[in-house]
Amino acid sequence: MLTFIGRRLLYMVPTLILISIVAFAIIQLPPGDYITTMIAQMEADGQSMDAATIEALRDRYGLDQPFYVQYWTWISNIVFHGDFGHSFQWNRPVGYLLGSTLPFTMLLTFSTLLFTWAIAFPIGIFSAVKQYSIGDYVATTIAFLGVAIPNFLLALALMYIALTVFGQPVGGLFSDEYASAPWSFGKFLDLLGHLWIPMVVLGTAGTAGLVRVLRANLLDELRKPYVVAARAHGLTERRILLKYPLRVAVNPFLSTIGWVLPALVSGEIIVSQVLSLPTTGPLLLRALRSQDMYLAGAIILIVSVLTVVGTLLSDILLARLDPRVRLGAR
Amino acid sequence: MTTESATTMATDAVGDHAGHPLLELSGLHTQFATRDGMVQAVHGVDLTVPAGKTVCIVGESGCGKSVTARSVLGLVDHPGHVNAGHVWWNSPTLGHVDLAAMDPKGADIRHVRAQEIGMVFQEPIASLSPMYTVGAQLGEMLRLHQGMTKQQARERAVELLTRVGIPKAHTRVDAYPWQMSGGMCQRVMIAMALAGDPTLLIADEPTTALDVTIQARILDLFRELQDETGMSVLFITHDLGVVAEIADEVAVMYLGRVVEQGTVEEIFENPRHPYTRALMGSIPTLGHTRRSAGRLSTIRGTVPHGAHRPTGCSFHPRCDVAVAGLCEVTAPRTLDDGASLIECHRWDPEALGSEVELGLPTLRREATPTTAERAHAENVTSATGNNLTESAPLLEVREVSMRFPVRSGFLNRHRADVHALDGVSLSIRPGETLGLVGESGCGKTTLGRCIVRAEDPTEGQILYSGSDDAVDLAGLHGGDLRSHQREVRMIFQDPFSSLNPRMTLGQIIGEPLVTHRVATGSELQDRVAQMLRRVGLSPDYMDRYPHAFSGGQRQRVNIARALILEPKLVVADEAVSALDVSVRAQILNLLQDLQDELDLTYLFISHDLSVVQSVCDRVAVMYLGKVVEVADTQQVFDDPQHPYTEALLSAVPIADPARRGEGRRIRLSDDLPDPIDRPAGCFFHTRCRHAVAGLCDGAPPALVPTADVVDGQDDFGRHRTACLRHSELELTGIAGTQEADR
Amino acid sequence: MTHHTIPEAGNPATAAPEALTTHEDIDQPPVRDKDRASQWRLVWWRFRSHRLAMIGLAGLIIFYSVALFAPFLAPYSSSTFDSDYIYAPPQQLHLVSDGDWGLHVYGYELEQDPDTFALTHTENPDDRIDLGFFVQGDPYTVIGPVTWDRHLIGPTDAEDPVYLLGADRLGRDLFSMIIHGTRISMTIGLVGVALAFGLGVTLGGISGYVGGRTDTLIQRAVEFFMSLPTLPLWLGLAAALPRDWGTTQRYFAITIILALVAWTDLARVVRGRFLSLRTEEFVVSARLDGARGRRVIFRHMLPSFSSHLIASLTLSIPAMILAETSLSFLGLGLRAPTISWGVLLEQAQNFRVLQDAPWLLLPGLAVVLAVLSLNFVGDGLRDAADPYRS
Repeated sequence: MLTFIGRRLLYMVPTLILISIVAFAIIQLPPGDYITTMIAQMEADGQSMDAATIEALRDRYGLDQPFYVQYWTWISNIVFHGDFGHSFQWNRPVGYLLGSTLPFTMLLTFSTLLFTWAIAFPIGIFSAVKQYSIGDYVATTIAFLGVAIPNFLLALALMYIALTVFGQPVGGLFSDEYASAPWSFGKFLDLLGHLWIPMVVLGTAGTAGLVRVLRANLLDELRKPYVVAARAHGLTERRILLKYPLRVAVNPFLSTIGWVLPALVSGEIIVSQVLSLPTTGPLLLRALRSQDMYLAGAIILIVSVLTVVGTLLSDILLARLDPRVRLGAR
Repeated sequence: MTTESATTMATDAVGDHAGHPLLELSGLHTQFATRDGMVQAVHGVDLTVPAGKTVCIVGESGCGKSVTARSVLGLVDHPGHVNAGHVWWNSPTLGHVDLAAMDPKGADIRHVRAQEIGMVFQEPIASLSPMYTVGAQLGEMLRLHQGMTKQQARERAVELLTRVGIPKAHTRVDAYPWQMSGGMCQRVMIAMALAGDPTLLIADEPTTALDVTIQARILDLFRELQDETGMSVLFITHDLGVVAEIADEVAVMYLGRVVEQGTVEEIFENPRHPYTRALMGSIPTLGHTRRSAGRLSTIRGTVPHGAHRPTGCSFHPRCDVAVAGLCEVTAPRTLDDGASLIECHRWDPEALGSEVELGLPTLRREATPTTAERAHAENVTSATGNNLTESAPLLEVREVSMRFPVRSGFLNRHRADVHALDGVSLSIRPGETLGLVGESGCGKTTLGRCIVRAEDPTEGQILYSGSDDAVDLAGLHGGDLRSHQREVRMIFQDPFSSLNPRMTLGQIIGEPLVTHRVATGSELQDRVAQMLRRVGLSPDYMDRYPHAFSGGQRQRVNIARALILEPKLVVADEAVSALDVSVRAQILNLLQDLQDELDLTYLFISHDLSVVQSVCDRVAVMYLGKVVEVADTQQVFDDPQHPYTEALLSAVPIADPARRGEGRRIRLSDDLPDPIDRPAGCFFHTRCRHAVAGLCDGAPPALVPTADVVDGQDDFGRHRTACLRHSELELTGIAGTQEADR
Repeated sequence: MTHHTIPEAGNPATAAPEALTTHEDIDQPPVRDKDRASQWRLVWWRFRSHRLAMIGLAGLIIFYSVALFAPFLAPYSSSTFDSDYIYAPPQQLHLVSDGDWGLHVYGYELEQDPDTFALTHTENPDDRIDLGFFVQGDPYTVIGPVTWDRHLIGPTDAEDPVYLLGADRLGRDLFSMIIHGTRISMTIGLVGVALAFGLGVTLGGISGYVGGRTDTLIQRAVEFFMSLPTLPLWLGLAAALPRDWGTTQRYFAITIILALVAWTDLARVVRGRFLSLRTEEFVVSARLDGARGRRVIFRHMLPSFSSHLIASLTLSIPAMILAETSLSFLGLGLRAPTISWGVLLEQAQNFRVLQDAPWLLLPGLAVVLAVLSLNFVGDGLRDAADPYRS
């Protein structure tokens, strides 16, 4: 087990280095840089900037140095000093901006993950056990729809319904009166009251996907000889189902953390934009549009690292639960 | 139905309710919904299992044996279900009940499954959940059904595992099923079936997936357990040898019906139904060598699909003695003479009328050949043998080794090697059939694949002397290799996966002609058609796809494909193992005819010793990647010189209940040594009953000629063995057992 | 039936050696269609029995026909707009009014709020606008220099406003826009998948067939790509596209970005199939039959998983369509004047607008239907892909 984790951790290092390079490369990709954007903006406003100032700015941010020097400055500051650089657009340290949005992103992602499982698990089991029943058809249909509806469309539709049926606009994570208030029980309840909409929106696609995976896996397992054998040994149907095939069917379920997590993080960006949530998503979008490279790079990097770590966690969990993975079945 | 004594025994064994037998199936029907409509897999089965007896159901695949067994406990999977009939069970607790009438998910049937009827399946490893240790799975049942605590259950589990012969049960109890061998897992399954102290054990082909040595031990276990507990056994098998070994009564099934039933002696000594007779005739029996036995009798065709049940007697299209105007019109009724039961018009005076004589000519079981016959047979062999000795070997395998690296650990480093082949040397003379036998994993298939160069041996030479001077096949590449591969061909084991399902028979058989640019266009068509006819298929089949054909027909296609390039040497890798007995006989006969006709040399790889004996001139026995013995077939079977060969021979079930062996059993432990970490010295010493510490675990033995020399035999044909003690050991072969029996 | 199964030869045990050349032991089953059916026919038969898949197939045919004949099917051209009808609500179709038969809609009564200048549109039953088939309207290019001006459906007088699904921010007919958008939205998936297919099949095939170090290298690359969160990657790349690129350039750039992310799955599928097929007995026997590398691959291995490949391809198109829609919705994908469902949906970003003009969500319905159809077809194909499995 320790060997297994050790090996996985070792594999992670080159992956993370590569990811950081890719993240930096992406933010470097657009022609020009933030200064160019700034000049363009000022010109649009009828102002101008003299060459010396431009040069000074470039020099200050190291923008005229070669790619690898910039990369090294960037990554070494992150790794050794925890310094993610400075956001041009917000004129604040990137670390500060992340600190104010990342917790909400993680809160949203993990609560959605739990929500997804809580819903997908029973539906998947029901759907497999009662194959071809009406309930199965309903579940399968919903699963199909869930996969086919883009997140933002669902968000828009829910917003429209909330607006027309309940007559109040939804969006954000807090009501106005709590937005800048210190933390209190009331604020917490208010948060929960707002959290469910993005949770449902974000969770739908994942839930639908998981229902399909679980159903297919469980159906496969239910046809295995050991199920018949367990039945022949006089075990009850419930025990046969819940103990033996489910244990095997759950394994791929666990490994879905690997793709559910990145999907959630990706989905969060677009849903948060629609629902105007104070998370990293909208921040990334604005940063990308205005070439606020350190902010965008930091977000892409952190999200990627989280994904890789999530995959690692799911693999460890899988090894923990499946003796064949743990002990290396031949 | 049952014999008088059996009934009395039944009464003694359990508190019999109103004289009912332990289990009685009456008019059982089980059907499956398929794409082709409803298929009646079990079509009115009547069967009785008396207390304390072993009843075997035997028949080819597709006859409904397994479905019958599963129907008893309500275990038929969707889309099948029992649609008529009764399963009367004489329950010690519930009284005389009909299991077929119970809710298959209800508490009653669960009680019967847990406490009264145990069941064992064909695939032992797959029948256990991979996620839990065997102790956990066994313990769960004990806790649930016997109300034990966790601690008690564990102790009892160890006890049960010990009882079914699992060594070191206290550590094995914590092993996962996939860490154990098939034989061990089957023992675990038996332990689980025994957990509730059942009065009946249903075993559905429990030894089919196992090696013959393991099979023998499992059959022993069944017998021991039965002696101890007095339980009844309903045993499903396709293997008549197994039936002869363990059955008290036999029911022969064909297309969902029991066509003949009787005591094992009755069935084997005086089979009456044409199907039973044909089955008996189509199995090669030990003691009959190639030259003495001649062609096997066969049953033409195959078991039809359940959706196309023939009218009248369902066996009539394959029956040699069918009465025209009767058998294809009316279904035969069940004739019950008190001792046995048969469904055949030929035995029914009322149906038959006066034109046809009642019954069939009594079939005298072909006795084992007399000494005179044997002498004659040997003359024939040595006559051909003389021819053989004059020619140089066609193929000579020299010190061939094959290793597969095993990677493991932190950085997936190369840790060790699996030794599939370890310095194998063999020769095959033109025109002969060399048999290659051994347990699974002994390297026989790898050797065959190295010879045709489907695999590249790690080291050694494979010298082939076709038309030119000897060439080393192991060293050839590209075009040179391809041109020699024309002459050395292979017939694969699995008739289903070895034919590309996306090509027509014409394309498949013609492929070698195309790739070697031998023929094109109409010439190609002609040659394929000719080849099809040769292997007994119609040339009309050329534009059909493999899915249109049965296993036996596909195997003919495989043979045609192998032979179309007019090869000299053919490697037949378990070529008949996947086939039913009647079809197997057809293919074996075909292979022999083609050999005579086309001057072929065969390397015949098989785990089935009786088949090997009936088709091979010489036999090589392999163990853990090494050849341990090689000699003429007769010598190997009569006078084995290696303890492993002896053990292998003694494990083969013999299809003759009269010879149910006493004292001839040599049992090998279930566990083969790990091919990565092999024992020192003689690899076999860990399982050998003759092994001597300090000798056999020292230096590895070489394959050396034995002392006995048969007249006219050159050095080539000498009996060789790789046993350090062969000169001091008295080993028994098949002949020896015959002597002992008399 | 029975006469088919009666063998020609006599008792085989007594058959003379020449019986070899007759049909010994072999029953002659009746010839069924199935026996001569090639892989694709068997796949089609299996696919056909899958009801949802057939529904999906019908849907797909409709979508791609719409894409093909978009200018003819749409009442207006993609550039037709009328600022009088900004956010005009959908008109109801009428078949009969005042005892007068014929397909028609009612025209709008326009009112402008004197304070906010906002336009409100109400249907005016007195203003009857007749609809006709094959009517004359905006001219469009059929092929090359050939132009036509007939439209399947439209107002008999081309000047009349007809907004069956309402109008958008610029006063364009949403119905026409959705039809025009079908072209881009349905093809971007195809082109993207084609690119991903090229990458995936080549790299996956090399990986699976060559094996060894190459395999390890490619697998590491695949794993790396799969560990990246896709959307941030897309967004980053899309944001990096130069703003002055034209529509075509942008279109291809977006497909390349989509393909960059999608190829990994295909590569894995291909590699997996190659690996399992390499040891499959019929492939080994093809090699022993003397077939060389290329013949083994193209004649024996590729046909064996081409149906699986097509299923995987079909199933990866929906993700592309969704991705394009999402990117365009965020303003980072395609941009006006290109018309795609995602570009149309961008107008619905503001929920104040949505409150007044909920029909702007309708392009989303088209997305859902297209994705559903593709998923149904893909699932059906996947189930039918191996017709030899019982």
